[in-house]
Amino acid sequence: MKSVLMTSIPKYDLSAPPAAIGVLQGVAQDNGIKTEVFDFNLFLHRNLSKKEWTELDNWCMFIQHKIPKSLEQKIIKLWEQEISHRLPAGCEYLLISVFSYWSLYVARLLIEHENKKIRPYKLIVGGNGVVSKFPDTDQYFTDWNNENKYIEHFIIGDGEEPLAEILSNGKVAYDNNKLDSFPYPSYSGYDLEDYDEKKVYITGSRGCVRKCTFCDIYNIWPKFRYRSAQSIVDEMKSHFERHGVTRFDFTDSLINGSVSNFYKFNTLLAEEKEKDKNLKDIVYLGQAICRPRNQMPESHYEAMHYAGCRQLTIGVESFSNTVRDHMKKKFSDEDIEYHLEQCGYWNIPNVFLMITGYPTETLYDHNKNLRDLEKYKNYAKTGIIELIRWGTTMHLIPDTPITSPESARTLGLKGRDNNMIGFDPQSQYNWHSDANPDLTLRERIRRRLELHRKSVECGYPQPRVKNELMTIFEMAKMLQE
Amino acid sequence: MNIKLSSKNQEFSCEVHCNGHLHSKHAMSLEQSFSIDSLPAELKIYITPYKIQPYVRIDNLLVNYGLAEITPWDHMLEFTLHSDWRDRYFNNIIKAKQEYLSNSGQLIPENMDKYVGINNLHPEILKEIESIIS
Repeated sequence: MKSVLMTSIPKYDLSAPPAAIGVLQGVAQDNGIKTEVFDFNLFLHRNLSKKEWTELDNWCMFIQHKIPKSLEQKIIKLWEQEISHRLPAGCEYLLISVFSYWSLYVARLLIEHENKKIRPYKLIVGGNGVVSKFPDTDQYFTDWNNENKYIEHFIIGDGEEPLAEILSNGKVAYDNNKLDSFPYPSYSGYDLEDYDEKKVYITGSRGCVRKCTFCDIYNIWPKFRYRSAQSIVDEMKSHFERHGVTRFDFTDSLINGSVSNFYKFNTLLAEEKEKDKNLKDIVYLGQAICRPRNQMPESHYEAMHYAGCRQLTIGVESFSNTVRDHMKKKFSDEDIEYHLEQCGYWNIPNVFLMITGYPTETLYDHNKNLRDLEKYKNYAKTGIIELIRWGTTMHLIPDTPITSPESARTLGLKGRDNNMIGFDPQSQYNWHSDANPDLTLRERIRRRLELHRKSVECGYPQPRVKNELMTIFEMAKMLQE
Repeated sequence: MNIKLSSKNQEFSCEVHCNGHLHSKHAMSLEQSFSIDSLPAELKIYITPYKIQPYVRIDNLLVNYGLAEITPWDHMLEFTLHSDWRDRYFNNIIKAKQEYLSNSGQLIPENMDKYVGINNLHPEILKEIESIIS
């Protein structure tokens, strides 16, 4: 029987088994392949010192372009030791999931290492990260691989169809346009107790119905596709039956991309819970978009409540209408108020994701952020705005609408020393806009600190603040260079 | 302050007692609402039929019984409303999160920062950053 060892690498969160491996394992098993899984991210977290883990984290996030040689060697040694130990007999494939561009450096280190040895298996590499450029060399991952011919099976885009083709020699294919044609993800081989929370990730859709100016989702999934409500509910029930999991985190860019399908999903899940009391503890969390009342009437919030919606993560980004308009978020101040009112009425907590220092943000917009923190503070007290995150100030991602040649020209966006916006931190963070010259990196950091102080004063819980502030501290150092 | 009680499927009647006095009586319905003008208010809401635990909304906010310190009895709901009920509610949310982390052996500063996110002004880091940007 053919076999494959599937691995995930940093940077990834430690709260649940990696979604991508779950998806790909489902495909492999559907094709009659024996699978083993190895979460190298979790393994490193357990086997590196706190200092080493932080160094690795900063490297992954391009805060530093290098890690000490000794750490590099330690990572390779741990990888080698575990891979040889976990490799199934006669293993034909080693799969490395490059989850995002924050996995690029680790992926390069390990893939180069894999090619220094004689190996009996072929490499399968894919994931969202492989479409990006290495910030230090400015070379695309694809070009780097083409030049070196490291990877035997290189997957760009959705993994299900190409993986099935590799593993079945082209005999099995799924319909990429119909997400319901894919098998359910499989988390066998993982001990869910190893993770911070007993939960699994679930995917109801891919892509987004918006084209926000700062976001690169459109490059990865240009078309919004979604699964049927029934299929999602059935998958949840199957994980509940197999692993006793009651918490599901949606990986979707937005769970209410199709309002009608989302409503149907909530209604179906609520009905299932009503029919089978064993399912009563099932809850779900996901990212969503704030929508006007005519798109999501009260009955939709009610359905979410009865289905077990435990938390929504909303990219509010800014309390300034003008800034949101430029971002193409397409919701108004009134829509935010309506959304909060409904969430309060049905007790649905929210995480608000915010951006400070968007290229068009004026001091007036910034003051609106400060004012609305005050305005909505009662929602924080009652847990409806359960958490708020201001991030590390606006960073510009190449190949997004805001950094397109036209937009860069209109806004006069330039990196440090007037360079074009690239993948290096000096341009991603230390950029300026000729059209909004007051918004320097120094000013963005000042505003960010002011928002932090105001959020604390108003009692908004803010997660991972220490890390964010430390990153901002590193960014501030750029001003001294 | 507006209090609203509702039950999805079963009609109920109730009698509201506030600080030991009869406040109001409400005939059978899926939803009941009343106002409380003076705080603090010790509320006893006698519900018929027994064993119904309606949703409770305070000023249109659906509250969790535990966090709002509502004691459900077979025949009534009992709780005290304070003018600072939101602050108390918030403190109970934080306490519940800490207890969850504690019970699962995860109550460490790192997780307080990651999941709870309070008491995190970090003035020393702010000072260091400000010394660079000023």
